[in-house]
Amino acid sequence: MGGYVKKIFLLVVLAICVCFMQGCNSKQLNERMIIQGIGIDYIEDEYKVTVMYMNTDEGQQDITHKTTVGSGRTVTEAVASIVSQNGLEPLYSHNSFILLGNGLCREGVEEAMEFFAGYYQCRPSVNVLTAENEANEIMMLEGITPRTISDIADSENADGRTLAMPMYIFMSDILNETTTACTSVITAENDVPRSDGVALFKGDKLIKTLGSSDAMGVMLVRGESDITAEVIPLDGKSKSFALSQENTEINVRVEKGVLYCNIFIKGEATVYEYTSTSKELEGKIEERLNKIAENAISACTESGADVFYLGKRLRQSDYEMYCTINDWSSLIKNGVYTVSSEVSL
Amino acid sequence: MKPFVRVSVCQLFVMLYISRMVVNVTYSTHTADTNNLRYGVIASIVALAATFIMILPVYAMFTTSNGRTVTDNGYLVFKKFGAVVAVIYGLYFLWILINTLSQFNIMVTKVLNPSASVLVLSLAVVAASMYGAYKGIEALGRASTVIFAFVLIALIILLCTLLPKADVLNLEPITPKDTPDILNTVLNMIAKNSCIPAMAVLLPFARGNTKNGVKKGIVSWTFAVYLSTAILITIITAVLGDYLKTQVFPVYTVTAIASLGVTERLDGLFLGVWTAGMFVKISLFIYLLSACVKRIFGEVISRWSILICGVIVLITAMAISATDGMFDLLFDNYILLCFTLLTAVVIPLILVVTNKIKKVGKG
Repeated sequence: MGGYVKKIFLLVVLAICVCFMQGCNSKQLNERMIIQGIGIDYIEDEYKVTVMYMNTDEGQQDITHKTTVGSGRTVTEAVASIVSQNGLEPLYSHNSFILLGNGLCREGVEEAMEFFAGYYQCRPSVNVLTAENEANEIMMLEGITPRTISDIADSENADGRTLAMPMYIFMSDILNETTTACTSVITAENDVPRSDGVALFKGDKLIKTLGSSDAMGVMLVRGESDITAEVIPLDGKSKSFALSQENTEINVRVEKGVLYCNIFIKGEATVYEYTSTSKELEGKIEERLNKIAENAISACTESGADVFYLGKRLRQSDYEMYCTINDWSSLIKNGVYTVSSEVSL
Repeated sequence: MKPFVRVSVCQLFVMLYISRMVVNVTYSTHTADTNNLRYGVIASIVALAATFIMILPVYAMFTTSNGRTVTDNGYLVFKKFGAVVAVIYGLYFLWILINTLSQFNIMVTKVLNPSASVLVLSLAVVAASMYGAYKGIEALGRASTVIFAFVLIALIILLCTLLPKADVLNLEPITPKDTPDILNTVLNMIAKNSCIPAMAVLLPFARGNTKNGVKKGIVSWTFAVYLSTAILITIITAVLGDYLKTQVFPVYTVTAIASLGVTERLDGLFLGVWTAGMFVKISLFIYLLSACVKRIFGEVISRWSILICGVIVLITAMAISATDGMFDLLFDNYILLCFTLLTAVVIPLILVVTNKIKKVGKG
């Protein structure tokens, strides 16, 4: 008898659990705003948030996503204004990118990003990008989907010119006293979005935008670039090469108040077109890599930007010296940079 | 009270390892009361040595007391005033239980799901743990072995997936100037050694509790706990860099960054393992608290002691969660440190010395 009572009691407890302890908080899929991409602009002292979310409306099955806009004094208030329009509960865990508008970047992004760093649903590894103009302009382009932008952000290893910048690294670089945060820039050409260069931040404010070639240089020096196609002249013709297994060694030291930095790039180059002079080819490729890297270094350092973690490197190699430096930016500007590279074909 | 139900030495230390690692999961600049987590690596090594020294009185008591728990020794030495020892240990275990449950509540309601009801959550955790404690130390020991396997697998997976994302440049050097901060972190780590007072009650329960076996267990437990802590802190710091400053529970954050194949985040795995660890810790400490209650009030109340303890823990944790002043008191590391030193070092030392003096007097 006792055994039966125990079993019935357990069944009742289980039934209660099934009814009242559901993981989905009793919300149906079509009652949720499953966010796939967020754009943030700062216009006239207000945040303007553009949200791309999954279409869960059964009546419009051919539409994959919807885009909506809200504004407010904070990002949270702007999202709340969107909720008041469509009545859907936002879900951020599926968000694949955060696109920051140019105006917001110039004003300072930290306040807006605090929401993403602190809100429990947001993924720390979501990619951050900067729009050449307004984020809203890009996200409202005809035919654009959240996938289009997230694919561009993920194309780091495909083109060697797009910097994938997870939110936690971006925030870490903003908060660090020496490092310059950077993201890829997204622009629209003939209503087609594409990545075009790198945006550099001083603290949380945008200071400079570099072009596509310098973006490749930045990635090359950071040791993050797998170049798929770069052109070199050989025997009066143009030859293209790909670079893989890229690896960079950077040595930093400060002597008599001057920063000396040796950058050594290594990688495996592949040339698909016919050529017989491999030594000369290696030399040409190394020359080209050196040039790309030097241009990028010069473009970054002239504005005192440390996108290559030189400060962190000095902190590790000579901590005492690191602690004595007050103006890191001018040290970077007046630094001596030597680039060399070695490729194997 | 001579224990009848027993666990192996290995199971006992596995239980204690899980109980300690549950605390490490909530490790952050806020809970460690420091402005930089990097001190934790060096502090772990110093705390390892300090913990060895802290365990000595409990180990000495175990080797000289012929299978008696600390509360038994209290009665033996102080006669009817020995109840004071049981009361102190009971209060300490209650403090730890409320502390652990409150941390869990904060983690779930602030980081995981703010809409979750603290009452329902606490009720579910305490009810499950009461059942675990009711089943006894033997059942807990067996459950811990299974959970330990999952903890180990989860730790290995997390480490392997996070290593490629770790950047050594984020590891800041440590200089002699950091000594006060390191010492502060060491004290904080020592304060969380609630497993040592637990050993004072549990060691006599260990099957085949030879001096050698227990000695090996203590050494392995201490090394495992502090090496895991040092590795965990190194990985967190190397992966998160300065982003760490913005995070309340960085261990949870790194698990959200870890990815395995198409699985984008492993926080689900982490949560499952952590909840299982919570179950072990709360069950074990409810069991310890009920052992103290039993020792004071005798067999009459023994059948109800687990239920009573569970209800006390639930009500107190709920009341404290609602009161800010009490909350600060509960998480004050110096109060916890004093309480831990009293139960882990001072009382066992007094009992060992008094026992020795009595023996010499008789001899």
